[in-house]
Amino acid sequence: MYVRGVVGTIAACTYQDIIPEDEAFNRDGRLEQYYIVRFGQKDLWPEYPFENDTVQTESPERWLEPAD
Amino acid sequence: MSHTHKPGDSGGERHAAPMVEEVTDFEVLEIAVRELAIERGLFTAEDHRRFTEWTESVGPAAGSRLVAKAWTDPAFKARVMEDAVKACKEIGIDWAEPTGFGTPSDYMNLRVLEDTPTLHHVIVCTLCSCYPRPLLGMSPEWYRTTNYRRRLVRWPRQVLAEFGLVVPPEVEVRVEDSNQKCRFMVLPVRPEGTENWTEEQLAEIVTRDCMIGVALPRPGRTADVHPVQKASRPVQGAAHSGEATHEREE
Repeated sequence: MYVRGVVGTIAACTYQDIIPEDEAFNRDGRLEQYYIVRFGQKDLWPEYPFENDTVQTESPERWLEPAD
Repeated sequence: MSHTHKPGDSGGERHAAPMVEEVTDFEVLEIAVRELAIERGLFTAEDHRRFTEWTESVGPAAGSRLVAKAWTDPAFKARVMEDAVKACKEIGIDWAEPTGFGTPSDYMNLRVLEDTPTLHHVIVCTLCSCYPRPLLGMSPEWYRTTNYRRRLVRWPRQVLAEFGLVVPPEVEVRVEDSNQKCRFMVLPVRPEGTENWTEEQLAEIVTRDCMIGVALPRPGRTADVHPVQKASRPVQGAAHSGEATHEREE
């Protein structure tokens, strides 16, 4: 989706739940932590003109990698 | 024996003319699934009718009450921010039993987004149109359009301006995309001019659009109105319509 490859910060830990891939196929699945992750709009869109704007999306842990 | 029919292709089979306007594939699917479920005893037609009527009747009043109470009771607000689903029970909404028919909401994770003078939240579901229905009722049509869902993340201030809301540049606009199981609601900043108001008076100015984040509450604003701005000199005025259509036909 639109935040692929972008560095963000964890805004909240929400809940532990079945991962989307398992739920979609109705398998008894693995539980994972879900997070709300915050991104700067300037990091997402070229020439986004407002410095402070952000977007938050929710993600299971497997879709995240530590930033270094 | 099977072949596809194109419009105007009479083929070898007779088409019955439909008696109603075109029905979408999804409407056909819904009817088929519903009739099958009734046939198999999953629920009755009466259950379905009562559930449908409930969904159509629920509005944003519970959300307005929650905001009004949070504005007047700081301890309640703290409980809302700590565990919003639990706090909802205090205003009469049980996310585990939203309908009273024993069907729980699938999604039991409500998060209330608190605005401040330097932070304005607005909510979208880019994937579909997820919405905190137990608190706000059915989502408005515009919220479900691809127009809103595609554009709000990318051009939030432009979209907000179309609703008549212009956010100063120093205020952070934070778009919340509800693309998993959390559901969100905005807790707006309490406007000036409401000192000593009762909860009922406050709830009156907290409209659905304020809790999505496309409007700000203020005294006197008790409804979400989206006026159509008619062009003062439209391309096709009544006096010119004959000429306009003639040109298009050529």
